[in-house]
Amino acid sequence: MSIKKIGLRGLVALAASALVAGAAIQPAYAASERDTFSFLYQTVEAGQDPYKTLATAFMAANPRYKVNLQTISGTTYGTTLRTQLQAGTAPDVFYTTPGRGNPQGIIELAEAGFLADISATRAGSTIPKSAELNFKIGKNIYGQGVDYVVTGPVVNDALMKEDGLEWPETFSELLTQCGIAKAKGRSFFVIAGSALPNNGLFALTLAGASVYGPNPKWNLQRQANSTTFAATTGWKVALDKVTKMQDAGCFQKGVEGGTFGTITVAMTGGTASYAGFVPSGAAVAWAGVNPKGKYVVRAFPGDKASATVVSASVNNALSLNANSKKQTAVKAFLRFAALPSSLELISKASGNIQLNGDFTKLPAVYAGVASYLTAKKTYALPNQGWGSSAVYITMGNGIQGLYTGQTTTEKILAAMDSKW
Amino acid sequence: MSLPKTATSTLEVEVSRGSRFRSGSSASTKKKKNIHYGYWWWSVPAILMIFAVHYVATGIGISYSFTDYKGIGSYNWVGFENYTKLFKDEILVDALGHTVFLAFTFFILVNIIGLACALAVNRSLKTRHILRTLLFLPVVLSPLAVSYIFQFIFQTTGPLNSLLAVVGLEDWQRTWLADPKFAIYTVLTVMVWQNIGFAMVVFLAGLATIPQEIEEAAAIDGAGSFSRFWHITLPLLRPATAISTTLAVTTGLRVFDQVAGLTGGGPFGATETLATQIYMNTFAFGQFGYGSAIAFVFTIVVMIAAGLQLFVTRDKGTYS
Repeated sequence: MSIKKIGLRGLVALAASALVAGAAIQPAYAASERDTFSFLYQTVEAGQDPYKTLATAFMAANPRYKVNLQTISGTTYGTTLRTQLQAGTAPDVFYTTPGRGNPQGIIELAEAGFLADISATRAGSTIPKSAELNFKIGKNIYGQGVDYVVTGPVVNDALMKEDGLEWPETFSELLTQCGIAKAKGRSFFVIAGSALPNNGLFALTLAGASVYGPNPKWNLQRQANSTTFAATTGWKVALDKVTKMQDAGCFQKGVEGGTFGTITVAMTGGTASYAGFVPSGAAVAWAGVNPKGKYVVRAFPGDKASATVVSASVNNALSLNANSKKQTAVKAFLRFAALPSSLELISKASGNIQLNGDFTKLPAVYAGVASYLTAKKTYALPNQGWGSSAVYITMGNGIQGLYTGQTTTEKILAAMDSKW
Repeated sequence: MSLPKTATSTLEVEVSRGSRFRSGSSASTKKKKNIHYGYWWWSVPAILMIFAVHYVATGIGISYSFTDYKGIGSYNWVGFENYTKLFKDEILVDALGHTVFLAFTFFILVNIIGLACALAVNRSLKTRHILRTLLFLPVVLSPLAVSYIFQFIFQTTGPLNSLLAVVGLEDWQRTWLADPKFAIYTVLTVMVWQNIGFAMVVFLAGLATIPQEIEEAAAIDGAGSFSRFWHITLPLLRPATAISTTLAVTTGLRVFDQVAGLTGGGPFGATETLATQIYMNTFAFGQFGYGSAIAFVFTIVVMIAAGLQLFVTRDKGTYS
């Protein structure tokens, strides 16, 4: 070994030692010396709080910063954030959602001048190429992805196995199994039919096989007004499935009055229903309540097995307030949040999939969708690219009308077009 | 009797400040005017505050109704576009129908039941004080909290359906909050239940002003209970009735909490009211301009209804 090599290694070892020592002997900061900034996000209803976990880890690694956490209930989050932004009292960094389908949608807030460009951070590495339009305007980036969310039915596999059933591969098999479940005094699905977001999530899942699987660019075409909901056969096929499923007895009794509480009780009780349409993170939370259940995320079956696709996308994001006086501190926080170790920390707490992670090494709850993720048979949550939140709410409202027989699929689709 | 020296000097100061009263010639007139404490300009700060908080804010709100404001960013003036759109909106027309239905039935039921309760607990009952408290108790509760409790009661698997099953009325079981025919009645039930106590208190106050001698004289003249109620009590309750009915109409028209807490306007708009539509359009859809236009029209509807109500129940001096 040459002296030159030894010298180089020595330098590397010295630098590493200095880094380790530096990390171990962090300077202590008085409360008044710490650079404090505020971070607002939606209240986490169950399980671990991923954002608190992230902020705690950031403060541990960077003692000169202090993060003041603020939370607001999901039902009023978007409107409260907008009011704060308009009044100039918004926090320095806050939770947003990609696109413009929600009141806290990145693009709408960025267009109004409330978000700062964070392209100089590592934000770009957290945005899938297919979803760039939901985070960027031109070359500027206004949101940073947090985790990867699979939207599909969360299924109690243990209960299905108890009844001698396996997850259906086609829609017609599903209808048959609904009858079997009903005969056993259960419902195949439990749905919060009075909660419009749950109806919306259900409908978006149905639209995968007939709209976004065959035509991934449907949203872009709708944005260009070259198509409409009413003129798209796939949308009619998707919403007609609601009525077919109801006729086959797929839903719990009184589905039109179901709430999120109904879903939680039915699924964690372990006997009433096989599956519910909820964000994938719920599978982890439910397993904690009912250890006998085996909760996994599944792909909703298409008309043919080959048509089945899964909604998987970056649905949660963080944005920097354009008027924040703590730009440097928040950018340091965002850089930290984009580190692979931070993304892993967040996904473990939220139960969602790690951004830029390895799809072949997913947690057990994702075993049912792993093949779709690796084969890229996925589509982004569609409402992120819709004209306004009114379209999604109108669809959710319309689905409840289908349960009660107050409306038809044609009327719902026409109403969605009028709200675009 | 002369005033103490300190008091006299105070009055003298009042006189010197109130230049209008300096010309008083006689001592008695001077003394009378000296105790005239109020001046119109004393109320100016309060008037300015009310003007700024109520009327300027309302005026700004109305000005937004002529814009396409989304709640954030800039906006454009769109003239009467929001108002044109408003009168063509089928959902709003339905919401107006539901609002009028709820207000009218609420106004009838809450006043009839409130009056009945007031008559029942007015004089003779020994337990009347406890009963009055119990009947008034729901009024002080938060409407939203009450609605969430009733939401639990009306659930498909809730206590009401369980009770119906226990008494053998399974056929009557239904999804109360999501049944297109019955959902609006659940909202009405909660509204009436919570407000009976308030109407009762207003009528009790009215009953307390009716001289017992008149009723006793009528009884001696051979008037029966119903006759006394119809010809004496009810006419003399006109001022209380005016207050109670006016408040009931405006409360009924403004219904929001009960709808938001029980049905969220569903199923498929079956319980939407003008107030919930204002909220939806303004905050959920981010159409502040359109929401302001609905709110302005709604304000006019409430003002007309309240004005009509006051006109119908005005004191004509028949029994004065």
